[in-house]
Amino acid sequence: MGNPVVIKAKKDYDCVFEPEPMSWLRLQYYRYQVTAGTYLFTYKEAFVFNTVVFIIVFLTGWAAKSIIVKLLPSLWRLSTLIPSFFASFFMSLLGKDASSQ
Amino acid sequence: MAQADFVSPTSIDVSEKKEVEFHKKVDHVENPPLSTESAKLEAEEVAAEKLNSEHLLENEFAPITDPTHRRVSKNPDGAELFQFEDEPSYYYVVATYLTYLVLIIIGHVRDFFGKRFHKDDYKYLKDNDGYAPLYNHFDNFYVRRLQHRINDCFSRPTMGVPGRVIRLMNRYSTDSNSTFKLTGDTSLALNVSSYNYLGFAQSHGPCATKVEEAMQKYGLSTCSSNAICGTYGLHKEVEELTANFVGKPAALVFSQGFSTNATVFSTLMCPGSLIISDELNHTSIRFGARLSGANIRVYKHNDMTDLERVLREVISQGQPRTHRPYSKILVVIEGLYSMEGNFCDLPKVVELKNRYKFYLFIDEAHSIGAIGPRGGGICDYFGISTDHVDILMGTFTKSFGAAGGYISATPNIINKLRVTNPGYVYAESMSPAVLAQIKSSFLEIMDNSPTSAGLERIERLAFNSRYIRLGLKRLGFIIFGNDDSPVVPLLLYNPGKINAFSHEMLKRGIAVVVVGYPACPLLTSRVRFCFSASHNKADMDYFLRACDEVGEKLQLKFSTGAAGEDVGKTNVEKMKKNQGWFKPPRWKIEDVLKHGVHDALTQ
Repeated sequence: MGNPVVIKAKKDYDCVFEPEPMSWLRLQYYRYQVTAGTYLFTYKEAFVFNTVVFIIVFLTGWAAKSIIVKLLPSLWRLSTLIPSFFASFFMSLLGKDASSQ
Repeated sequence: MAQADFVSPTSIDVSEKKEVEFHKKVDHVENPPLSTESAKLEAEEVAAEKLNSEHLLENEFAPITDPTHRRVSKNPDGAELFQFEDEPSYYYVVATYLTYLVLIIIGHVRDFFGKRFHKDDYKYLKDNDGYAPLYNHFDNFYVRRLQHRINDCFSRPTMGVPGRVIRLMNRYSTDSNSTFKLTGDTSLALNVSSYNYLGFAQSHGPCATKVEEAMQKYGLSTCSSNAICGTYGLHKEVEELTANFVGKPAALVFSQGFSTNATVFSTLMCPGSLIISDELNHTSIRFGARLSGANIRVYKHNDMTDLERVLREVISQGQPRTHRPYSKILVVIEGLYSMEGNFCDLPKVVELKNRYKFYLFIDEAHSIGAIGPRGGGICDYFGISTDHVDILMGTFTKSFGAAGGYISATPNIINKLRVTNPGYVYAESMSPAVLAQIKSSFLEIMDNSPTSAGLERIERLAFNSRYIRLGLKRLGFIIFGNDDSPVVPLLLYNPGKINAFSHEMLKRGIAVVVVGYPACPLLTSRVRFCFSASHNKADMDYFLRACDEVGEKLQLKFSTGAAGEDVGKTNVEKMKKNQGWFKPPRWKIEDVLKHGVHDALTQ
């Protein structure tokens, strides 16, 4: 929709198939269009829809970022305990081996 | 949306004339003739033939590339009908429903503002000066807000004969598919959208010659109904040929396929009788069943357990409220379901008929000529005698390249229909030109010699159907229906892919028919390919390459492997060996083409 585009065969049918490559980025956007349905929309509808989707994704990302930032001090404190956890884990393994002997 | 069958092969000559007239109008508007001489020269030759003059014969029926590309269409002895419907992952299901929700919301928002700021555009949906609107707003919403978006996929104008290839007139729209403008040029596309099963849509050859002779001898029309003076000797000949072909004692020919079903039930059934109809029967059967005034019950599609449950219930309980027994019970099924691509389970239906003693009506509109070792339809395919079927209905519009329909039954049923059926008594009788086409195609099909051209068509169609279905299944698409069916529904699901698939295939020179709600359920939008004996292996290989590329592009390879990557029966055995484990088939296109012929012929 929007500007008139004539959908027609590239050439008359003659049994010779010519692949039509497409760049990866454009292919991903094309897949998004056909899966989300914006392929059917007019330009205005597609603009509004994409704006809404962008806002939702942006707000979701913002919320995730805010939560992570709030949890960052406690996450950092937990991360400092990781080396000692692994050390005690391996020591217990060694201890088990020694006791069996 | 309505299923737009823009290339239905009705009468060859009539369609040619219409297309030529259309082309002349376009020529007048877009490209006025430069001089009188060029205009005269162009008018002398049919426009489509002029464009197709180089490969005219091959454009209608491709020669076979290898004589081994033929197989017999027959159900293996003792084999059960394999029926399975695969499902995609939930991502696509949820995306489909969300897209429809968004489309409906956008439609309502536009209606809300449109009714207040563009009142004139909605006049026909509102009360006007005391008159009620003719259109229901709710019914019109779908057409106005949803179907319009994909309107450019339907009703494409064509030129010439829709045989192996079809010539489409290119067009564009500047007002969101409300109107279209033609560009003046055409596209030649591979035709996988016609019901041209046996490839009889031809303007050259023995059938076309017979049609010309019949027009010289009888004229274009009988200008009368059957009951007055519209019954020629040609009508009797075709009725006899039809009865012989399907294996019934008598037959009746109607001039329109839809009205055959729409009028036959009102003659056979009455209030106090019962029609048991399959869930997915054609709308002509539903329409005719409602007209008859009989009670109607529906059972699940091709589910013999549910049919038996319904039969036991209606026989034991009788009519509603009074519980008196029904005067007669008629079960109506189709031989080949045109939207699903699968066969009815005829052996089990016949078992139930022998036990419960109902009347059986089979609509063979698509299956006649398209399946069976001799093209005799669903009874021929399963090797069941037509004596077990009370009434066989079929059409001449698909495999015979003609128009109209027929009813085949015992002489007393046919004689009753002759004097009481409104589709026979009041309708105009069949045109002699169409009858000549039917007669010549029948004689070609009924020739059982090894060198028969009709037998070649039947066996080529059987091979083409199996080859294409195997190829698409192995590429990873969800394909509905049985493996010998020439109707190949490929599932699309997302509404955005309905339009996109049609566009992508047309860019690659292939004309397809896409189908969406209400012609099929909301979730299972599909594209339906109809393959023909006029295609050869080069055409099918080109088609498979195009489907592979477009399928990757649009993410249409949903198959989980549950329906298998071989012919159904083989897959069941493989699944048992693997204890039910299966993996998604994602063959490379070169492997599909390499193994396709051998597997199509041996499985």
